[in-house]
Amino acid sequence: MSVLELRDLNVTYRTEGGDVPAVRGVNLTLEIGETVGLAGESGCGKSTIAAAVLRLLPKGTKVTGEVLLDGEDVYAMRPGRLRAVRWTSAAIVFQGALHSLNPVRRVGQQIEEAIRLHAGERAETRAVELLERVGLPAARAQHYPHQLSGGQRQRVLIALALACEPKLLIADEPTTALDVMVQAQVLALLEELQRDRGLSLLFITHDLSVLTHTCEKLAVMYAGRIVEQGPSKAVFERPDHPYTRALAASFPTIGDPASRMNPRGLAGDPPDPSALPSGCPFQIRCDVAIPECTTLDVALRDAVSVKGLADRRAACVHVGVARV
Amino acid sequence: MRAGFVIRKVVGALSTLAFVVVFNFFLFRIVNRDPVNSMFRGRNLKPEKLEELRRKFNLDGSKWDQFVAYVRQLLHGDLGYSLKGSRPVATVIGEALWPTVLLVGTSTLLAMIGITLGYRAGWRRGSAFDTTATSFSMLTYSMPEFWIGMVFLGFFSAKLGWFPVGGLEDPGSHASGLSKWLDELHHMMLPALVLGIAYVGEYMIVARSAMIETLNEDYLQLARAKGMREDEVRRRHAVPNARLPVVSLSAINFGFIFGGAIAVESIFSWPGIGQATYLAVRGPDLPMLQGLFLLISAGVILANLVADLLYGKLDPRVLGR
Amino acid sequence: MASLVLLIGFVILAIITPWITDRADFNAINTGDNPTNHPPDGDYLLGTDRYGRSVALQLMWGARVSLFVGFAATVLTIVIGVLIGLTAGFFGGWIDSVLMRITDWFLVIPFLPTAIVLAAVLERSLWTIVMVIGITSWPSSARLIRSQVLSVRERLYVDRARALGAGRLHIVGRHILPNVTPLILASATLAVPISILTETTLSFLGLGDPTEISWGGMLDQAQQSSAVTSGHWWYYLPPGVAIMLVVLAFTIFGRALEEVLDPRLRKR
Repeated sequence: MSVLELRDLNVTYRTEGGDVPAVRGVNLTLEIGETVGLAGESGCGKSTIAAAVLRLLPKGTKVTGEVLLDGEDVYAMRPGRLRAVRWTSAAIVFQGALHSLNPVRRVGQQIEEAIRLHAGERAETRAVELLERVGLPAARAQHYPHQLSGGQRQRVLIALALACEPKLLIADEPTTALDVMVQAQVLALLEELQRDRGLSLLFITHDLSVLTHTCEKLAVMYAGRIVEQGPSKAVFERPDHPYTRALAASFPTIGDPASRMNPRGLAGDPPDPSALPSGCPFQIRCDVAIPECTTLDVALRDAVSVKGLADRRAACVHVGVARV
Repeated sequence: MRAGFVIRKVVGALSTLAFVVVFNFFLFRIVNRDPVNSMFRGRNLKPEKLEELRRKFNLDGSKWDQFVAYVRQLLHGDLGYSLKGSRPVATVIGEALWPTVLLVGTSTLLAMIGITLGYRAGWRRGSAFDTTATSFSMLTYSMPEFWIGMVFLGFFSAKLGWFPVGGLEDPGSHASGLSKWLDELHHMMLPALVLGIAYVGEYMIVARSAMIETLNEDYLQLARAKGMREDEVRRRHAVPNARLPVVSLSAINFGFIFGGAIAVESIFSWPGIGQATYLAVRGPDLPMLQGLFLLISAGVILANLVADLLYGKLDPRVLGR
Repeated sequence: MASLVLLIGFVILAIITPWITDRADFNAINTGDNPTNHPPDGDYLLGTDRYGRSVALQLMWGARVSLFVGFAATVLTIVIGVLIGLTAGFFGGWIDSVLMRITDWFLVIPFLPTAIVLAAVLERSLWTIVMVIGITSWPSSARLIRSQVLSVRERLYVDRARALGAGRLHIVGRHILPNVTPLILASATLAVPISILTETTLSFLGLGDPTEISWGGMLDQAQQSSAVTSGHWWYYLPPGVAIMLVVLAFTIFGRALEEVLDPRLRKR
C-alpha cells in the first residue's frame, strides 16, 4: 500500500475576488521509503499540496478528489481521527523556520508538546534526544527561537517533525531561507534521516538542483498541474517539458561556481491562477510554442522520445504520443 | 532578566518622575504667578497677612530657592497643607486612598472580563459574537463614563431605589463587622458596575486586535498540524502571543487605581482620590491638587515600569539574545 | 455613510443656531417668567432647567462649543504632533533623541489629570480648553508621524532628491508631507471625538468657560442642581445622548477613513 496517494486532487481557494484554483487534477503516489521531489515556481500550488495532505487549508476552501494516507482518505475522516493522524502518519517540515516556531515558548517545549499530544511518554527526554539527533546540543532545548541561528531553527523544525515517528515527511522549502553552506548541511541531514529511518519523503522546493540530489523521483508543477514526472536524474538532465528545461537552467548547481555565475532565468511571470489562458498555460512564456498550444491543453502523457527511459511523463504537445 | 534592561527601564521611569516634579512646580509656581492670590480669590486680605501666607506656603524667595525647598519637602514626604481645614495634604490623600483602591480595583478586575471576550471576538473575527462585542465597545467608548453613572444613578437608585444614591456607607450608620461590610458592598456595586462598563470596551478592543495580529502566524498552522484542537491552539499558542498589549493596558489601568475615577466618584459621592480631586478643582485647593497630581502621576509611572518589566518576562525577544 | 450624514447634520445645526435662536433667551431677565425644572411638553421640547432655561436651546448652543473645541483642539494637536514628528524623524540624531524623550514623558504621565491641573491653573476660557487638550494629546500623533517619516525617508527617491541638491525644506514639502498626509487626516478624524470627550469631562468638572454653554457644562449644571436624584431626566439625558452620537459618528467615520487611506489596514 502506498504511504501517500493523491487522486485527481483539486484545490480551489475562495477569496473576495472570486475562486482561485490552486491545484488542478494532481495525481501523485509515494511508496514506503520513496523520495519524491515536487518542484515549481512560487504560486504553482506545491505548498498548497503540503497543506492539503494534512487538511490544513483555510476554512471554505474547496477540495475535490482524494488524499489517501496509508489508504485512508483524509477528507473522509472525523475530526478526532484527523487529529490523531496528523503528525503521526505524516509530519511537515515547514518553511520559514522563524515564523513557524512560537516565539514565546522554548523550543524544547514545542517538541515535547507534539509528543504529549499523541500520548507519548518521556516527552522531555525524547525531545532532547531528537535535538541531539539533528545535531543540536541538549542545552538548546531551553532556548527561545530568536536565540538560534537560521540553520539551527531549521534543525529544530526537523526534530519537531520527527517527534511522533511519522512514516511520511513532507519538507516544504526546508532550505530556502538558508545560505548555501547551511543549506547543504540541512540537506545532508534530511537525506541521512530518510535513509536511517526508511522515511518516505515528499520534498517541495523551487530549486530543481536540490531535488536531483535528494530525490529518486521528480514531479514538476506549473499553474496547479504536474507538467512533467519521472526519475529525477533523467528529468533534470534531459527535460521533456520546455518549462522543466527553463527551470533546470535557471538554478546553479551546488558546488558548481560556473553555473552560479551565469544563471539563465525564465522570462515572464507565472500566470494568474484565477485567470488562466486557454490552451496550454505555459504557452506565453514557451519558446517552442506552436499555434496549436493556444487552444490545446495537453494532459500529462507518456514520453517515448528517449528510448530506454521508462516512467517519463510530460504535458506538452511536443512530447510523445499516448502509448496504446 | 538582564540587569541592563532593568536599569534602563528604572532610569527611564525616574527621569519621567523628575519631569513630573519639575512640571508640577512649573505649573503651580510659574504659570500661576501668585498662587496665594488665586487661592484666596475674592477675599480681601491685608498685605501683611498675604506675606505670612506666602511664607507658610514657601512662596517667598527666588524661584530657584522655592524649587529647592519644594524638592526637599517632597523628599520628606511632605506635600504641604490643604486649604480646607489646613490639614496636611498627605493625610487627606491617605484617607481617600483605600476607598479608591477598593472601587477602582474592583471595577478593573470586572472589566478584565473584556480580555477573554476580546480574544474570542478576535479569534472568530467577523462572527456574530465579534460584531456584537465590537459594537458594544464602540458604544461604551462614545459615552462619557460619568454620564453612564448619572443615567444608572437616576434609574437604579433614584427611580427603582435598588441602590443607595451615594457615599461609602449609610449616613449615621454605626454598623460594624459583616453588616458594615455588606453596607459598603451595597454602596459600591453601582459605581463599580459603571466603571466596569466604561473600561470593559477598551480591554475588549485591545485584546481583539492583538489576537487578530496573531491569526495568520505560521506557528498556529504548525500547532494544528501537530494534531492540536482549535481551542488549544488558541489558548496555548495564540493567546500567549497576544498578551503583550493587554498586559501593558492592564498595568497602566492598575496605575490609574490611585488616580481614582474623578468624575464617577464625584457622581456617587464616593470618598476617594477621585472625589478629592473633584473637590480640589472646585475649591480651588491648589496645594491639594498639586499633591494629588504628583501621586497620580507617580502611580502611573510605577505601573508603566511594571508593565515594561513584565514585557521582558512575557516576550523573550524584548530582552534580546 | 449614516455617520457622515449625522455629522454634517450636527455641523449645520451648530452653524445656523445663532440665526434661528436668540442667545438672549438665556438671560435671567428673559427667563424670569419661565417655569423651572419643567418636564418636556409642547412649549418646551426638552423641558427647562432650574433657571427656567430651555434645555433644547442649550443643547443647540452646546453643539457649537463641543464641535468648536473638538475641531480646534484637534488642529492644535495635529500641528504640534506634525511639527515635532517631522523634526524628529527628518533630522534624526540627538534632536530625535531629545524630542522622543520629551514625547515619552508626555505619553506616560496620565492624560486627564494633566489636563485637569493645567486647566485649573489657567484662566477659564474656551481657548484654555483647546490649548490644554492640544498640550496633552500631541505625543501619540508625533510618534505616528515620526515613524511614517522614517519609513518614507528610507525610500529611495528621497535620497535621490537629496543627491540632486534639493534643500531640506524642499524634501519635506515635496516628498515627505504628501506621503504622510493621508495618515495625518485619518488620525485627525479619530482625535476629534477624543477632544470632544475631554472637553465634556473638563466642563463637567467646572473647568470650562463659564460664559459659554456646552454639553459638559449642562451635565455639570444638572449635577449641581441634583437633577439625577430629583428625577429630572430631561436635563441630563439629552446632552449625553448628543455627545454619544457625535463621538460615535466621528469614530465610525474615522475608522472607515483610516481603512481607505492606510494601505496597511486595507488588507486586514
